[in-house]
Amino acid sequence: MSPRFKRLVLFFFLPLFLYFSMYTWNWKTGYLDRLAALTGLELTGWVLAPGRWLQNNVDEFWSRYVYLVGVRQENEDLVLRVRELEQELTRVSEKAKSADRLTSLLRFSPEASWEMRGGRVIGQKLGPNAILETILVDVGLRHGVGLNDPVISPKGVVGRIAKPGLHFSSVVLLSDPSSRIPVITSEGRVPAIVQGQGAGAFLEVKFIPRNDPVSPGEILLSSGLGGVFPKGIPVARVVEVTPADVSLFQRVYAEPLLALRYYEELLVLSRTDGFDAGQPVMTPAVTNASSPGAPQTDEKSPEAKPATQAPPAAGPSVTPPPVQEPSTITRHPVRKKP
Amino acid sequence: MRLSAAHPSTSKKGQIPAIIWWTDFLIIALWAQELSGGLDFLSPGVLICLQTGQWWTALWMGALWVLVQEGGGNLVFGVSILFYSGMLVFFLLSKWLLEPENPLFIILFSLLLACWSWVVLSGAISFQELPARPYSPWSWIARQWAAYVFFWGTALLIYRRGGRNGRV
Repeated sequence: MSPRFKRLVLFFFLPLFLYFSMYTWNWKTGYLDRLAALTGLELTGWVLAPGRWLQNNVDEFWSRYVYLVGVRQENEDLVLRVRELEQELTRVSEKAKSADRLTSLLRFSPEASWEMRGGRVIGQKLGPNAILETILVDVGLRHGVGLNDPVISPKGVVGRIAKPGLHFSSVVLLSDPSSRIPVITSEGRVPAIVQGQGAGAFLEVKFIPRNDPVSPGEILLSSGLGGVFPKGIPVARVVEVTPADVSLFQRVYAEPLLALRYYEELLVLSRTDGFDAGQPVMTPAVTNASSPGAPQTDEKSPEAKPATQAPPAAGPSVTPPPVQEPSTITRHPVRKKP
Repeated sequence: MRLSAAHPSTSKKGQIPAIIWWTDFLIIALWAQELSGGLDFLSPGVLICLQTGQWWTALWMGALWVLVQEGGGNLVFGVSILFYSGMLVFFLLSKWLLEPENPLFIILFSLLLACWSWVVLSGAISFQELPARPYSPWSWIARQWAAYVFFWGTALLIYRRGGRNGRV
């Protein structure tokens, strides 16, 4: 063996072999991904958290003690609003009680119980490798947060935990193209799948049959079918419905109910019954979400294999069929918000 | 004009200890990454070490940067290793053509690095069948290039004046 060939092997083929061995080993096991989440993500979180804390406190001080324009008017409006809501609450609580009675009479399965934790957003795009639409929140495994836990705000769904670290977690947003959530329309109770199309673009609502009723302005609620999101959380608002010409399904677009990137505080929900919401999302098996044989998304994988636990009690008309995604991602033209 | 970071081995009074300098660098770079919307600001740290011949510092720093970038990212572990390996190879090859202390080297190497970064990330995205990035490559490369030139040049100047040449 000539020295030149030896050098070639030593400096090119051997490192290449070692690199691909490490890559495939990690692809299967996910050990290095977890190591990076527990070290790199933590370090980033600890660096960003004090700055965000300072920023939040300065903002709070400014808005509470300095910038008080319109506070009196706002206070009066809020008092009126509280009165209205109190009346509404009285009316609705009676209905809720009767719904509980009927549920127990009809022997529906009890709804899954969820625990709620508040978290602050401390970061967004954390570097060149942050390809997906993600944000960083200051809750992690130490706080009881796990992979795929839903992240919501008082207005609706924000996303789900994609990479939990010890004290910080990465949340993949609803608008990311890899995010798909089973929903039902609020009026017609039509089941569908909401898929993100990137930042600033409308969400695509897939698999609504051509004759099913859906109209602009209708709210899409999480159907709870995948086991990841609880049933009944607002996800998006329908903005455009185009009747199908050749396709079996209507072309429907929706917009999130909140500006996903501008939220400072969020709520992370965790199931208290130990239900596993499916395959990991950001570990190799799911990062290659559309690779053959790999589970496609957070919500789809649990649907592919029936959940061991019955989904939360559904309304009488909600019996949506298990929707299966095609094995390859079909790319549609991204429609930007006007 | 030379921007060499090389110092005499003896440290002067008033110079910042290396560990503090690099910690400050890490904090500023991470904030810059966060505020720039995903550009890379950590690599110039390794490049400064390579320019000054601090190979061991470059090695541990590279390992730490890999963990940070991979931890904050969404790709399967290994992309940053490929990027930094390529950066090392390009650096050694570029040294044959230009002096690393030359500002022109910083400008041209930053452009090369920005292109390499795009190629590696696009390859990884395609390999993992993730949705392609919606923006055009040239605008991203231009922004990353400007970020590298500005951050690398500034960090090198500051390192030259206040830093200490030595391993942490």
